[in-house]
Amino acid sequence: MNMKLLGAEVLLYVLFLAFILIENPVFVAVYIAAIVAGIFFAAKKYPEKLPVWYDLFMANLKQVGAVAFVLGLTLPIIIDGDAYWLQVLNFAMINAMMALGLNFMTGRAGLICLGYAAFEAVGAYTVGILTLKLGVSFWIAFALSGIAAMVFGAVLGLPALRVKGHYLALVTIAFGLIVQETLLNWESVTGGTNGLIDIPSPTLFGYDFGQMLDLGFVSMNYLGHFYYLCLLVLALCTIFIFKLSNSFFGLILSAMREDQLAAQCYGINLTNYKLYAFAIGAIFGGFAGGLYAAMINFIAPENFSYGLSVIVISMIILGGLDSIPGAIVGAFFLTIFPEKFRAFEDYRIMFYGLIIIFCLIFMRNGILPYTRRIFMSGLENKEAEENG
Amino acid sequence: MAENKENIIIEAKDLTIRFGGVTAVNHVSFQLKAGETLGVIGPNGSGKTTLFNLLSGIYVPTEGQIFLNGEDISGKQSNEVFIKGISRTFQNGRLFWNLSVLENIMVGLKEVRECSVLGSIIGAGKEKAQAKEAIATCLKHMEIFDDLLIKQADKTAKDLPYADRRRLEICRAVASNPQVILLDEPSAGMDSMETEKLMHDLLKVKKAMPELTVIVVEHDMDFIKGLVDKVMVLNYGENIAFGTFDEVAGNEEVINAYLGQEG
Repeated sequence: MNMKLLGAEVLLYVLFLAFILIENPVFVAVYIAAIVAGIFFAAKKYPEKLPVWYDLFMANLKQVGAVAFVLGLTLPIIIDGDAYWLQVLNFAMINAMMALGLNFMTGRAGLICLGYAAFEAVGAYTVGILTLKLGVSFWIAFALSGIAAMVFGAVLGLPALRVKGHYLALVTIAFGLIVQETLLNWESVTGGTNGLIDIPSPTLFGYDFGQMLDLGFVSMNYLGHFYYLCLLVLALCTIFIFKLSNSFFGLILSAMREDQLAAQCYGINLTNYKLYAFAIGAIFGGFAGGLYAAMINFIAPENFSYGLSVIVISMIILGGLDSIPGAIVGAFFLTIFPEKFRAFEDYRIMFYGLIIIFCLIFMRNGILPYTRRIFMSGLENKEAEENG
Repeated sequence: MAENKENIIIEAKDLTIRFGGVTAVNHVSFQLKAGETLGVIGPNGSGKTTLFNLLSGIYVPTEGQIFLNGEDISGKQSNEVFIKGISRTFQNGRLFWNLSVLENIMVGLKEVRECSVLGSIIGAGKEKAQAKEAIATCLKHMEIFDDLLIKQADKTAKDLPYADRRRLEICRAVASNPQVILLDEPSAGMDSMETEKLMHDLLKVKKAMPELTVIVVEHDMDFIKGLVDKVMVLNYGENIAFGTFDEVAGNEEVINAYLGQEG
């Protein structure tokens, strides 16, 4: 356990809490600007310190993750079960799952996907239809939502095998639209424009997730259950993605991202690995959708529009492509920050567009770029020793 | 005769490819035994790189066949060709730029390619040992270039100096223990000192792997002379001369097509 890192993380947590608790949009803007300026000046004044902290952070991701999880457990208590913020935080976690999945496809494997919302839709409708119309238990439906999305990912992968780059982006946009249009028009199953209403809340051994969550010293409404469920699923998703990314398999996907032709000339079967990347990346969208449907109890096709796909893309661009912590931080920031500016709701999509443009021009690697390599030689200090 | 045939590692038979009306490689045939080195020379646009793309499975030949150990591999995809035992480098350098030197080499290893997806999530203990083994294998291959690559093992490929990038390409190609390696202008962009060093490095590779068959495309005649056993001259996609360097250098057609331009 690295105490320095623990202290830094608690400090970040306090900063994050303040970010949530400051209501006034002007103050939030000032607050964020102050933090950015603070980091900027700190980096100017102590140019050697920031990379050291960054390396420390990246080298101890296991501890960072565990501490973040524990701090996450305390969050609903600290905000005193505030229903509005619970809802926002739940959305942030659901978005983080999607960002993780898309990051795996796009950031790791280099397969651009501009229709990721379709996978969330598949997951949400799987849970919606199975629990509402067929009376299947939420937990079974939830597992199936991931599998259904995986199948859709593979289906999208098949035509996508034939195209690259811009053309792949177009195919994925079309895929997103096809799924949305199908949901709109297949009324007997999906409910068409009306969507699915009154999706039942999950129950676990007779315990209903739709009731109040009373922890004794603090009570919160049903969203508290979903907060902890989302936190658990997000933690599992993160571990899963992390293991996968740091394996030989993850290495092959990043080689494919760097240069498809060279990867193929080094024995990599592009067809298989593209399908794997699409199918695995899609699972997380499915789980996110499953949780979304059970939490909101109401889903309609417009919830899974092209706009949502763009939002998820902007999350991973902001966080840094191929960066797992980046995807989570990006998702949290881009879910919570716009909430502060609800008065300007109409400009939200424009805001995401601005973020993408800003990042692509000024911060191509995002706020938490992933620079640490998967496999290290173990000879790290060799050059330094020789010089010193 | 039959015995002789057995020794032949790679054989091209009437290899031809046409792009529309252009015949980029026209009925090229050759045979190479294990451990032989063939230099492919010819003016720009004579089909050298196209020949490599045919041999490595990037292009499918319009006519003709390629045999590796007597097995017809023409029409196989480049990943299958690689697994059969032909690896290559690229003229403009196609490294995995954002991966480290070590990782670039690891990608070509059999054990990396054959890992199971599920295993990488569940079997944590075994994975670590496997990774350690793979890293050790890669470091051993990097020794070809003394410590030049080893001391930069964790650098990203894009941060390497130019000459080291070319070395990394060669190292990545030999790390998979191929039977045939195709080197596409390995000395392109190097000065004469670096070229000479590269030649010695390649001679070292050949010494370390005596069974390795090498086919190299080069413009530098000293490089070719010092390295290869046989030379093939291409002009407009056709094989106009084949033999030792001195035989080919004396061939009038070759002098007209290519060497004559130098003198």
